[in-house]
Amino acid sequence: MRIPRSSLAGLDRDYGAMTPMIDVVFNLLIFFVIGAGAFSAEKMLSTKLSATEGAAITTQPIQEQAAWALTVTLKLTLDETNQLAVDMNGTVYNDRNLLKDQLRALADVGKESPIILDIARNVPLGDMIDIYDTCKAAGFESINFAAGGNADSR
Amino acid sequence: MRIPPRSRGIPLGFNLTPMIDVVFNLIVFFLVASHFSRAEPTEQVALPSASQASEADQQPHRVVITVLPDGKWNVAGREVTIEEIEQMIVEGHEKSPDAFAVHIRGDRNVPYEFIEPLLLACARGGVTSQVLFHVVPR
Repeated sequence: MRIPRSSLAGLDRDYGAMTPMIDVVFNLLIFFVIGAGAFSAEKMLSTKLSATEGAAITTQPIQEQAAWALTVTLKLTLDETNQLAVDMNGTVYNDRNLLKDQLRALADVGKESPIILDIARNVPLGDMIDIYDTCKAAGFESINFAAGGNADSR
Repeated sequence: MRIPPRSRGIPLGFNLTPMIDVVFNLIVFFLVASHFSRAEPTEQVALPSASQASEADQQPHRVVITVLPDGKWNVAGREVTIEEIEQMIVEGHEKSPDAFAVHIRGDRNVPYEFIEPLLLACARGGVTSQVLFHVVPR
């Protein structure tokens, strides 16, 4: 006698086995999405100050400056068109790229020359960071912030 | 006639899938929990850009001062005065003289007049080597 094959044999396959796989895949997706989002795009630009009573914020005492080193004073102000103008030891630069070239040339002569940033009150932080970053990139070892209301805002 | 027994046995093997599922859930949970426990409420500001920026060690003892475009100072999501900032810096420096850092997250358009008091407060408070500006890398 032939025993008929159960018509339910084909239904023994467990299609429910797909569910845990989809579950794990979604977990992996969430894991990598959150892991990628944990990385911050912000970085840090470090500065060094020295203790002060308010007259000037310097990175190192001036008396340590080498005798031949030239103190470079950069006065940052805004001109009539609200563009940054930088007075470097009496020479005014409106072209930032030209100023950066000059700073790099000065750094090639002597990285020990102290830089003093005399920033006007209305100069945006982005411009100040740009000039500070340029001085740091050029390799200057001593970058100082003048404080105490020396810069005049226009 | 002997009818061969049909093997309808349920496999007795250990199903790993739910365990992997739970493990990943735990990993995601602790990842998110540790991220939010470290993160401080940060206001959206347009940070300046710099080429000399670097990854700084996230020191546990630090104060993060956000300078909003209108010049207001925020610490941990709360508006503060310069006197409060000076107090925070002095107290933080007393607790960790070598490991206390001051982070300044300033909007790139904020005038320098709102940054200078912070630098002066840091210098007066004795924090000289760990003053960091948050920037976006150029």
